[in-house]
Amino acid sequence: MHVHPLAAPLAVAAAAAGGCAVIWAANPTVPGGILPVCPTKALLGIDCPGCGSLRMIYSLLHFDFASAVHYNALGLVAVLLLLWAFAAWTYGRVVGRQVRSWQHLRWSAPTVLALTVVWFVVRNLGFGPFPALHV
Amino acid sequence: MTYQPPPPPPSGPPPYGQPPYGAPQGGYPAQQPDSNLVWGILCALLCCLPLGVVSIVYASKVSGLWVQGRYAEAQTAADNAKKWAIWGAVAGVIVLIIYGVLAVAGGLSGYMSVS
Repeated sequence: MHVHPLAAPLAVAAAAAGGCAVIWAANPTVPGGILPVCPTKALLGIDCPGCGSLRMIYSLLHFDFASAVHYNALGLVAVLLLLWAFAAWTYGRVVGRQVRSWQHLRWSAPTVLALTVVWFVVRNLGFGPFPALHV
Repeated sequence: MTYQPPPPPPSGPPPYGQPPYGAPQGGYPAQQPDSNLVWGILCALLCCLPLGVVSIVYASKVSGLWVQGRYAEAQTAADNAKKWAIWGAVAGVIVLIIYGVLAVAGGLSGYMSVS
């Protein structure tokens, strides 16, 4: 069966659009909404590297970039990188060859790991300027 | 008179499992496996579970193992990164379902206690 090369990127884009629509409608910036609180935060009371992502995406959808940075700054960077990877992947499907993107670089994955661990630690520190990172 | 065992054959370059991708790059066979890093990041970002971080840990090993010539281990690490990202997504969906059930049950009990 022949599948159109753009079928997979379109499916991913549709899923992302659906997720954005749910986030827009549910407004996770107001507590007690229908979207669940991160289980790590609910069970342990700490901010995981992904905490605040739904509110960050909600803020992005409303072009409120300052709030997006506040809710999850590293997550915002991750969203931009994921968009880049998606664009490269889609372009590769169009031209029919694998297009190398940032995630194929030698130090991408170790850098992501280090940033994630550092982000996990600093947003849970209780002194100095770090409590401002708490969401 | 004792016979020494023959020396092991010289360890040459590993056999080419697949045809090289494009021009040969530094003698690497084929191409480095995809580390599935993107899925690990997606999982850590949206599923809010440490399983995404586990996936990123495995993904971060792929390129290092690859440049050391440990191709099979690099492939295994890439496979593990994919596996843990999938498990993270599954766990995220399960948490979402449990949350939904609890929310509905809580809503019902609240409604019944009011009425």
